[in-house]
Amino acid sequence: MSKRHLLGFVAFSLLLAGCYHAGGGLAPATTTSEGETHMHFDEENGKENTVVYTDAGFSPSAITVQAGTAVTFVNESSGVMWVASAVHPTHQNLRGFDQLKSTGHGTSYSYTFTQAGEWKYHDHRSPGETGTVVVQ
Amino acid sequence: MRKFFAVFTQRDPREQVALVLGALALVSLIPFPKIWFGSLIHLLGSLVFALVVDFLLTGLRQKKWIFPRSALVTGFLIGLILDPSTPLWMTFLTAVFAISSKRLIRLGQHHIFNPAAFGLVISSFLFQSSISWWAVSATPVWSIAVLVIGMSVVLQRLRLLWMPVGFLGIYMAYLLLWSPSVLPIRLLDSSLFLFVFVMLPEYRTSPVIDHWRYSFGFFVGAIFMVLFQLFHLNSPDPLLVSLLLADLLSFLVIKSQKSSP
Repeated sequence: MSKRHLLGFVAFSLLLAGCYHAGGGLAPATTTSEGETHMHFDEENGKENTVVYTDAGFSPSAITVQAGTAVTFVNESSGVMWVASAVHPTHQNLRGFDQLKSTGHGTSYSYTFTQAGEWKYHDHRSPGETGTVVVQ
Repeated sequence: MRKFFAVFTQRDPREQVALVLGALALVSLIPFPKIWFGSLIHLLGSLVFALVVDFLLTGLRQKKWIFPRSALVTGFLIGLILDPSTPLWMTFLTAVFAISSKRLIRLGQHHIFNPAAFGLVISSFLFQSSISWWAVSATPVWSIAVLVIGMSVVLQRLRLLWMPVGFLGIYMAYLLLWSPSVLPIRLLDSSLFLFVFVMLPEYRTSPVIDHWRYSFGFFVGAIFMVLFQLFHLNSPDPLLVSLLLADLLSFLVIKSQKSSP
């Protein structure tokens, strides 16, 4: 690989990364249902089946729901939130359970769990913050 | 600037990688004043543990007391990948597993497994420690910039730039088959870049002879696909497990080729 190729490769990679992450920056709010993403402001969240994300992490860290139930993740942290299925960074444990972008304080993301199981998730931008949704 | 660049390019490759990882640590810690202290202690702990264990193991075995430059890379990788909330004793044992694999699991002159990957996988298996790739997740664009610019210089010098390209190629094919709608977001992931640009082309354990220089990336990617798709491996981290399996299999293949008449 010559120096010209190397420079081209570096420039192309950086351009792609920059464009992509710039395009997927902060969004006002995101609600996802079984993989479909819609942009809207989530005003009314039911108390149950809601997981709050704060600077201390997800609360409750484990929640049990029936199959077909939507769980809403609300960002009350001072930073961004990107909820995604385990395992970081591939997020393929439960395909479709992935917010696919970072959203700021006050936003929410919903996902309808249709498959029974114990689904672990994390914040993609802070992968040490994890939680579990048990679907019966 | 040219002088700085010359100082960087003329260094030992292990020092170059350590410098890139040091820059990565800076871009990860600086924007987050709330977490920087705990993360810095975790990172420094990992570095010190790796250096001390390697220094002692090498010294006791070979009676040579030298500064272990490769342990810098191992220490940085453990500190940057293992979650900062990990207790220090667990970070210490991760470093012990990593350095021990380098010094004890070897044949002749060569160790078999990528030390950092080995330590992290064993630690995750034994203690359920969290492999979070935290350092590159918080500031993805800056992390990718540091990794691509810094490591391209190192890998170009070692003639190993095809290794990450090979892995990214097969990973892209995998995404096209199974998750085409999220291909860009998965492919341009900073954790993946840390894996393919630093861990994958570790020139002491990843084979660099003959076609392996070009094909090892494909090989690791193929193992990853099999583990993930057929065996649904989620934990320990499938990227690191794929690398360890590929290290072992390529080592056995090369050894059998050498021993056959």
